[in-house]
Amino acid sequence: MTVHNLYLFDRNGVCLHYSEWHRKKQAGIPKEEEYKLMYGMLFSIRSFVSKMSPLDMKDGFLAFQTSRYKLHYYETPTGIKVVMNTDLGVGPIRDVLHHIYSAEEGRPAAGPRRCDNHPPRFCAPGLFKHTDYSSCGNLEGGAYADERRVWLGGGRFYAD
Amino acid sequence: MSRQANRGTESKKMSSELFTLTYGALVTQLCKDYENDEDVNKQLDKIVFSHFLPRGYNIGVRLIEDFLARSNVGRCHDFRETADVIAKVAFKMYLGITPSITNWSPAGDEFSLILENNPLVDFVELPDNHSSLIYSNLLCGVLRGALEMVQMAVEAKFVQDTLKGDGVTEIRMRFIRRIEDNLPAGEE
Repeated sequence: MTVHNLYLFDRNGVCLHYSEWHRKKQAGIPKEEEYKLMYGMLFSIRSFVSKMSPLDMKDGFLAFQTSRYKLHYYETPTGIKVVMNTDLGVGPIRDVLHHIYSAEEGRPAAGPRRCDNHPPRFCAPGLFKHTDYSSCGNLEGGAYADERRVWLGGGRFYAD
Repeated sequence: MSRQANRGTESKKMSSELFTLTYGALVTQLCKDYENDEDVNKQLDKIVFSHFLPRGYNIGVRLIEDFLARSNVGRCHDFRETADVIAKVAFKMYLGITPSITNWSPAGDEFSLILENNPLVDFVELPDNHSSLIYSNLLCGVLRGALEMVQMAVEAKFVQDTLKGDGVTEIRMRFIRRIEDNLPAGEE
């Protein structure tokens, strides 16, 4: 099981974090463009899914897959969006994505000061580095634990 | 796939007395800094962004993320559910109390949170010259700020306060409207 990459967006579509691990092919466009494209697609698919829903919506859009990869989506009520691309063998990982969100956001006092004019952001220069992922062991067979090593190393930041 | 050891579910405890006294110091300082009680009330609720001390509203804007991270509560489907989450999860988590929810308006857009005991006002007596001070007004700001971040514009105000001789403390919440998401400029 493989995790390809991870995006975090704030409610305004700003990419707060991006990292990649087993991404064999790039999109061929600048990263900023890629984030915009990704956010735009998410925005559209959310509104499409809710418009077309034949039943009352509960959680809305969760994932899509192609023949090669699967995109998992998690959105908090405050509009923070966590997107992870994995291979096809990964089941629902809503709680993993929530954990990624909560690991950073669950310790607001520990993070550096956030700018007053912005809602909370993942400004911490060490996203994932301070985070104890030892509790994340078992993503259906342990792939997550293997990824953990890499997670602790990677990380690029788009802070103010 | 359980995530029981999630740090989000841990809650750190602190002395409620320290908390109460710290809050008292904040209000006292505001009373020194501002001439009249109205201004202090406004500061506690805080509409304008401040660059040094984030109060009510600003605390709410940040606290909601902490709350969601810890509680794993999803989006509420109506205002009644929101009321339940505020009273039973949020107040419990941050103040250690569970207010009761009463006095629903017929339209379901207003309710009251009744606080039997308000931890912010332990040891507090209002001096005579601060009769119009709404001591715990910070809570209103927090509620307003937090709900705004989940696309709910609300109004929150104190209608009863034990500090002013009422039997209980009552916060009246009114739903104003749902804030719609907009696509960021420059995208289609």
